Amino acid sequence: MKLLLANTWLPTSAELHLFSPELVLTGTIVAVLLVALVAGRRPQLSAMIALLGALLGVLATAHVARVVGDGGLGGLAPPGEPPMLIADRFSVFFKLFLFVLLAAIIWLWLTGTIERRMRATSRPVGDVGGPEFFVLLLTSALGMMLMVGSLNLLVIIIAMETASLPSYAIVAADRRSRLGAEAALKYVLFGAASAAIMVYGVSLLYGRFGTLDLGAVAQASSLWSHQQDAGATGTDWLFCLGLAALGVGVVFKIAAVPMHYWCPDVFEGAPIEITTWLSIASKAAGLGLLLRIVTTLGGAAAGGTHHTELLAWAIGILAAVTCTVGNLAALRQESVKRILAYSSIAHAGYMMMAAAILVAPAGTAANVGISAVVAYLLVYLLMNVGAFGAAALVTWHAGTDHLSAFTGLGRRAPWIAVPLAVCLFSLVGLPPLGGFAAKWFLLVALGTSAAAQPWLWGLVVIAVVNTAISLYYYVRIIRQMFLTDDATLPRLQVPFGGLALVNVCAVVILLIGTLWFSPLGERAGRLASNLYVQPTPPALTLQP
Amino acid sequence: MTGEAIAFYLLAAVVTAFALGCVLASNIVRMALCLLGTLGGVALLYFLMAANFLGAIQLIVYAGGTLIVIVFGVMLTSRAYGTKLRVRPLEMIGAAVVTLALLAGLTAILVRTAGPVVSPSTPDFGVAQIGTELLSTYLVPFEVISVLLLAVMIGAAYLVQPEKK
Repeated sequence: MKLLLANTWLPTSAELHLFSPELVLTGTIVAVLLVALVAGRRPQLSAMIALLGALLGVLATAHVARVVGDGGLGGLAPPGEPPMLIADRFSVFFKLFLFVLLAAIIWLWLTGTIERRMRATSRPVGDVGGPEFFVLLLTSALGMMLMVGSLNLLVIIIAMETASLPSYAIVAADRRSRLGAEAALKYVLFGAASAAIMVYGVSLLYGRFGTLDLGAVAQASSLWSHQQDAGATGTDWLFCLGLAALGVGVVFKIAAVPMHYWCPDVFEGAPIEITTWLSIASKAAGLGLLLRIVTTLGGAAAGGTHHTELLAWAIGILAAVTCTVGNLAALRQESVKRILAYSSIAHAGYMMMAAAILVAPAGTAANVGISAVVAYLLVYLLMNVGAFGAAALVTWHAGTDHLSAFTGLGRRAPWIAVPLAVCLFSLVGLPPLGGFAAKWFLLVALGTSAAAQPWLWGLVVIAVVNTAISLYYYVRIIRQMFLTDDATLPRLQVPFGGLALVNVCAVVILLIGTLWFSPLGERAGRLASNLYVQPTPPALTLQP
Repeated sequence: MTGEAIAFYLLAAVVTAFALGCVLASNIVRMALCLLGTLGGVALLYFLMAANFLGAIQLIVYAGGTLIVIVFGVMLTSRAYGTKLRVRPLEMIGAAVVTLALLAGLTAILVRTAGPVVSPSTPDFGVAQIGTELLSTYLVPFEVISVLLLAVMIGAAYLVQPEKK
């Protein structure tokens, strides 16, 4: 009998080091479960372990950041095979981003439990928590990290499911809430349909190119385009269809038009911690994956082909429609959660605009779009954690997130109202706030690339017009806080932890908009440089 | 026409008929039965293409496992059992338009495309080799799926556990 294990490849410890953030996260999931088994169901203990895991994850990622050299490293596949997982500065950025966000979300949850205990007698606020809640939250984070850290289509599919399936469950974490159950059902149906379409698209790509590696797919496709040298206008429709179907899954994660219908309902029905998590993490991971796909296809095409041009147009149009639809729909909302949901759709649209740049023909600065998105995401994280955190504090107190709950907040709770106003003005993109810096880098990136793709000026105009539209609904909330008042409403007693979170976000936004304006751009540019590129392209045998 | 081609077309016709039945039936039990026919037919198609392992998995997981869960679900939720699921004419027309457009588009694309650009690797995989591949080349997806299944199980248990007090 043959000893199979002796011949089987096993990952080396250097490779495992490279992916220690994922391993730390998996270890945290196990720890949360096992400790609950021994110490009993104590939600706060689970939260503490999860928070500790997130902080350890930050350390592990910082360690990886030093190991990852220029160009990134791939690994966890037998020699000769394309890597299953990759680690470059871009994926390191996303891991750090998600760990920091996880810590903020858990902090918000801890604040929420204190708040809930304080008013346990007054009104029944849903009981959200327990070890399962944190296991699900951490697993969805693991999925999002893997989404941005792979070029293998199979891993990407599984990663997206790992991000999605636990999210469906935690949306309904408050089991007493009918709205939550309805939101989870809508989410799961939309998610299942888009996942099915995506898997179908990947099967088409596999059938066309015989490989699951995105790098190899990109090379085969660009080789095909160059062989059809008759004006390079031959269109590989099967490739386009596969890519479009794959895109449906990605667009669902970003919640861009036309897969955005789930977003407001889910954001309204979910516990507000989860709304914050989904509005930032799910979109960031989707955008990261989109950028990864686009740069891989565009990078292999070297100079751009007919297909990459089509892809850029498709992304550009979707981005323009997404931010316009998001902003127009937000105008008529009365629920602050829904306003912020539509605002997040609009911001996803702005960020998607940058993805249309990346396939620009050579000559423009490399990865200028990625660096714009990295800068935007950093600011977006702060703005949304701040805005949702402030909304959470008010919502827990008032029991509703209707606009009227914010009446007179400037008098009743200035330490919430002022940072919330800062976050909202920053979401508009007014100077001297972080949101202005983010929009500035985005528009500059679009403008400089417009030399090669003149239609990018159209996106610039649309972004600017949309910024003006969005001013209306953000200012509506601010007006409700400062210009209307009802003297009978009492002052708000809010836990210190929540105030600290919201105010830190506001202060950092202010700093980014002023002192850290150019450091932000430089950092983002460095993070976006040196994307992972497969060192040895697999040999291809083309069939006509 | 070879015997293989005849078998393929016969099986394909059976699968299509069952799939249509599944969509068009109004009784949920009949739908489940038609689904069994569809899934079983696809398994036979796999066997015909000498993908024995895939065929067996299809029978065990889909025809066996998933379908039984669906039937149990139907039987246990007594209200759904026996009710007729009616589709409004407008929805029927909309669905027909979408599916026919999809069918036409897919057919047009598949007819135009010559074949795979890169020929896939040799498909003579035995069970032993599939096992080895799962634990070497596809180790990462395999492990991530384990975490995913654990989380999904926990999530399902979390959602159905009884409310305290």
